[in-house]
Amino acid sequence: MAIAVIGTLIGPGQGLWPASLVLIALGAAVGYQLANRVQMTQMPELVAIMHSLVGLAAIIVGFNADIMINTIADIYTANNLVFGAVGADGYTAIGLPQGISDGLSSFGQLIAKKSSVEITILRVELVLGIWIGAVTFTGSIIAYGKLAGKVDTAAKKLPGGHMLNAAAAIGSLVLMFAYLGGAGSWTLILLTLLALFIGYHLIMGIGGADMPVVVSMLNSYSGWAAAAIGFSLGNDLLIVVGALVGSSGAILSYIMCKAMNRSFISVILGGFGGPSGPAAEIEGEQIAIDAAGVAAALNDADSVVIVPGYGMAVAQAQNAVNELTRKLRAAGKEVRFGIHPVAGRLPGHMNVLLAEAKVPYDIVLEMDEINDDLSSTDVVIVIGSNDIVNPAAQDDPNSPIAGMPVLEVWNAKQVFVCKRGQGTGYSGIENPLFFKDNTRMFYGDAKSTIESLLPQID
Amino acid sequence: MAPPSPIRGNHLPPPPPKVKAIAAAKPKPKEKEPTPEEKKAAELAAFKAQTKQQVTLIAVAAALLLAVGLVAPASFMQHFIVFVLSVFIGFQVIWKVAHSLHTPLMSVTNAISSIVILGALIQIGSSSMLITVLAAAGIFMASINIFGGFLVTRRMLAMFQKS
Repeated sequence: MAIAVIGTLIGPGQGLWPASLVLIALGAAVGYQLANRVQMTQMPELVAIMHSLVGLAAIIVGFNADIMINTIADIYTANNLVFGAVGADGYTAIGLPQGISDGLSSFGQLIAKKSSVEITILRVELVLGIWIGAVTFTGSIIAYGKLAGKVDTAAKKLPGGHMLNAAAAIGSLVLMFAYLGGAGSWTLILLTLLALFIGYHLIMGIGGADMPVVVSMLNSYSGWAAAAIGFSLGNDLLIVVGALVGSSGAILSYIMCKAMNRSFISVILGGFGGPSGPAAEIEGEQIAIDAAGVAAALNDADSVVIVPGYGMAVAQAQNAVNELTRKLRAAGKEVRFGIHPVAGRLPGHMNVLLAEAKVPYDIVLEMDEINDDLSSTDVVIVIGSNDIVNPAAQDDPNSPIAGMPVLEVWNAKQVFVCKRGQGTGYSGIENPLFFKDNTRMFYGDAKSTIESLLPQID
Repeated sequence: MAPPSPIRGNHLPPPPPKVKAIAAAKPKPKEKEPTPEEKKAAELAAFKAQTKQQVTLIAVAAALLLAVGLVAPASFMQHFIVFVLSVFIGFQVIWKVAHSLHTPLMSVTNAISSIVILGALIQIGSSSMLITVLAAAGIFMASINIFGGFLVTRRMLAMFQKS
């Protein structure tokens, strides 16, 4: 990548490389500060806001290409030539006379030697680049706002809901054909505004818990935008990298969706499907327990599995959890972590938080690796997670999360749930786990409750 | 404190209907361990189905590629083939990344998608003031991403350690 940037900097037709270097240095300074200051709990926000920058850069590059096409077209007209005219073979463009094209920048020359078919393709590509870039830009800003708590995390739609998005998409398509038909740059600007609106409205309509899918999706879009820009600039490197990033984000989105047993479309259309019937009656009651009780059970246990969720990140409890792990392991107990693919607000978010707290990664296992072992586990501690340990996903066909793969923690001998208070949590789905006979509720802030356990572990 | 171990005994009356409910809810009930032969046959069938699906997919993709090639100019096709191959490689590579490394994967792919900076670098030398100013803004933003993305990825990867 460094080679590519340097090569482009010193390449032919580059008049402003000192200015470029200064700008890169400025960007590097900002990026350095960002990378060093960000806390690992804020990673989802950082990734989201960075996607918006790629989106904006793609919009800019796309518009510049359009401005350049118009400039070149004007030069052709001024010289009484036809832009895009082809020679005797039927497809090679005639181009500008040598004297005129020498005065152009390298980018200008690239566009000036295109045939009319190639110009149309170029226009389609830059429309795609701008459109995807614009959706990525506003979508990422909203995702950032939701992850940082600056925008209400609930799914919100304007009246009209997805019909508005569909209308905006159709409008974009119409504008694209108008633009290709030579209607001028205003169509491109209007199309960009529509795409910005779609990005905003689409992500506003998706709830905070679905953000892992949204962020991976935007990651994918930023890649496709780069690839589309690569096409319009005729740059293979941009195409290759864009396609790699695009497919990477697509795979991550797919994995997240599969982990929730929901289709990609249903996540994007926002909200849970809602119960398909009355929820199964929950018998029993939630029984609370104090730190002494949990500590006693931990001291008796031989094997412990900890299931962290977003609540652990919110409470910044990862260091306390590591301390607890260290003490339990020092006492000769087997301690492992079970990570659900959608735990947290970013794919792999929990793994990074635990790694930062210095939990060794070889005891941090995936859901599939640990589910079969849970029945032989003495104690499971659930910290700040809810839906990913909800037995209703398996038992209650009417549950909105029916069929979602979950960590089967209720099979363990004893389950402790660290939770701030009674309540259904993000998705609003009642969790029968809390009412089971072998479950005890350990209420309080995750960080202080785990810390209160530490002195009592021997 | 700890509930007695035959805890499932307390549930004895409800279970039968419950098991039924599970079977109804789950597409693949895991009630009976299949024999090794059955397992092998199932694996073989799955492999065959998967191969069939893949071959069909590749055939369709090839046909589409040919169809595009019939109408599009050669200069476009050259880039388009590069694109298709990159998507293919991307899928192969990304599937092999461990789940635990998905956050660093996202931050590094974010960093490399700032390769769009090349577009702005090509454009900044233009004679048009507007293009130059816009391209300058693009270079600045993309370089925040490049450096921020790679540095934060390095920071994260350095945290992972074995016991």
